[in-house]
Amino acid sequence: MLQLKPEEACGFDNITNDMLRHIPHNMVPIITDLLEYSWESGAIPKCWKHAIIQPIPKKAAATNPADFRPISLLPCFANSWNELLTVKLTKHVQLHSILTPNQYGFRSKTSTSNALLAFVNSVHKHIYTTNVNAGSTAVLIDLKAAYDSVCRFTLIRKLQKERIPAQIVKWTASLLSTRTANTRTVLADGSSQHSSTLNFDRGVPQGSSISPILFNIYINDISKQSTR
Amino acid sequence: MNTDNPNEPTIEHILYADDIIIWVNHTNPALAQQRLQSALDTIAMQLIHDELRANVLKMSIHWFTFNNQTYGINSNTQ
Repeated sequence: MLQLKPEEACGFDNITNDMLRHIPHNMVPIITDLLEYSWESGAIPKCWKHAIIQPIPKKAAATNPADFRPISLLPCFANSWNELLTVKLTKHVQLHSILTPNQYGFRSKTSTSNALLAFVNSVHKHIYTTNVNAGSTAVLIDLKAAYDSVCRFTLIRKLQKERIPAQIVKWTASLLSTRTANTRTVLADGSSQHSSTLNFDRGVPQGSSISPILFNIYINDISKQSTR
Repeated sequence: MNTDNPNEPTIEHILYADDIIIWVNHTNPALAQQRLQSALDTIAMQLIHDELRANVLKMSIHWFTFNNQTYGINSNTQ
């Protein structure tokens, strides 16, 4: 709890990370019991899966919906729990080398620089060590609404196929099911309006720390297929 | 994607979150095109299976040559 960043925005429950950091000591066993129960049963409280979608303007005087970037705000308590699960899942993935070395996104000790270097080095080495006819052709592909397009059933099947511990799979299945969200719009006078509740039956949750590793596992097959 | 046959164009790829770069190093453009097309077909099949879609407005193809010239073709300009 002490590692939580106090400045992070809170979810619909208005419980901030700062509140969690200053929680009374006698509350700790209660919270521990709650988390242990969630872990053992593989069930997540429904309220932890409700997000507030806040449109953030990309420029001044934004009027067109395309001028806004939606930010998904989850309850801080859910975020801290997701963080613990992310650590567990990431450790397992690293220990068993589940992700191919061609994946560079959201991995420790790798960055866009590593990805670019791998690409540039390969092209450069080929062109300058072969002959004047040497060349390289590259196709750059961007996936559309990637996180929102993930099929949950397929993701769970892939987690099982990669022999991710059953408890993590069960917990992930619960995390992905029955997700809801409201859009919160802040008006010019400072007041806010909420949309009706929307249900999401696809995708991994935006704004959750576990989503990048889940997405990496989801698209790992592309790399495996391509290397055949 | 590396092939054992030194005459075969070498196909490489990297994934970075929702971005995929696939490239082929070649001295024989026709063979390279064939290998690249084959690799792209494989990726397309996997994307369909996983219910993911490529953003065609952001796709691009680039040629890198010995004389340091780079030719980029963006699908926006096609």
